Amino acid sequence: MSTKTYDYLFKLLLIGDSGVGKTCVLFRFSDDSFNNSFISTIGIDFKIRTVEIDGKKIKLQIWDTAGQERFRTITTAYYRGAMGILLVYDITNEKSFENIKNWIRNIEEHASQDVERMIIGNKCDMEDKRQVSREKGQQLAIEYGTKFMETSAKANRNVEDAFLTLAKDIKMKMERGQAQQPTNSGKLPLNSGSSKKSSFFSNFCSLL
Amino acid sequence: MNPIGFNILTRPIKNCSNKCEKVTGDILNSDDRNLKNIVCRRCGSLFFAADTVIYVEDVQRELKLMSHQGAGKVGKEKISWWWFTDDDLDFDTIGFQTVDGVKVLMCGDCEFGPIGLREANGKFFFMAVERCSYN
Repeated sequence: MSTKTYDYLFKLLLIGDSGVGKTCVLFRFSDDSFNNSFISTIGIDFKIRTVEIDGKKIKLQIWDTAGQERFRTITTAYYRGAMGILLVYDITNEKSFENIKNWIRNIEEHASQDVERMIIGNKCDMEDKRQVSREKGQQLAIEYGTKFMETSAKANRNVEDAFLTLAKDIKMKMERGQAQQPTNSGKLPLNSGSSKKSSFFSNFCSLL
Repeated sequence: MNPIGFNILTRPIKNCSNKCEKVTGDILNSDDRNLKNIVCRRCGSLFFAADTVIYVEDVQRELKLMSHQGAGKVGKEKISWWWFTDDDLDFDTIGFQTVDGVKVLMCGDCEFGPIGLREANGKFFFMAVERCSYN
């Protein structure tokens, strides 16, 4: 088989209420492709993107909840092996911000204790409709000891930074040897065999 | 080049055809792998680096014509030439979506597609040779 050309594999999740723009954060949108209309996600969407941080090639697997959050059916299976979670709310929707606390509880219940978290206030291009101040977002992040960023998937502002920052933090944590490694993700030795792959796929398929 | 990645951001989106286009020039190396990088014809995002996937032919499938997010009522076409891998980590950048109930591959950056299929519970990946660009 082909030679593995990456150093790390990180599984990242997007969590948050319906309509906050998680799927928009997952995909890069350019002006002509941005879809303003709200279409609920159907089917699991999952994306791979390869980035380079400090000379290391990192494969990011970025998962979207596929609208399951509406049915409150996000379970342990979705969180399994996750090393980073982006908690997304909509700055024009107070309720979605209030619900971040519930999502954090959900994470604490289902995800690995060691998972790296980041709070994201999305749609910061819609300043005229803002209901949640930047300060409130920052305050919440401080309360939970996470990083905070405001993004606009539409204006493509800070979306990439959010993923990179999270990836950097996970990488740093792993290199310090403090990360409790989930069994099915993490550092892959170069030219690794296929055992890793099969465990990943069994998780993936269980969600399809 | 941006040292921390995501340098693809500034790449412009081109107008391009929504169906298979004849590929010119050599695309195979001596062991039937891709000689060149396989990229999105619309935004240039890298799907596979050179020498990553194998070429298969005579695998007959129908694939919806391409559009942004796979939206709209567009037709289908028959495709039989593919790049194949059974390892999702061979992709550099890719989006997995379900379009009209079919598990497909989309550009992970500009969301144009489908450019290929996922089969066997997501263990087999087929990318249409004539729906990509090469460099």
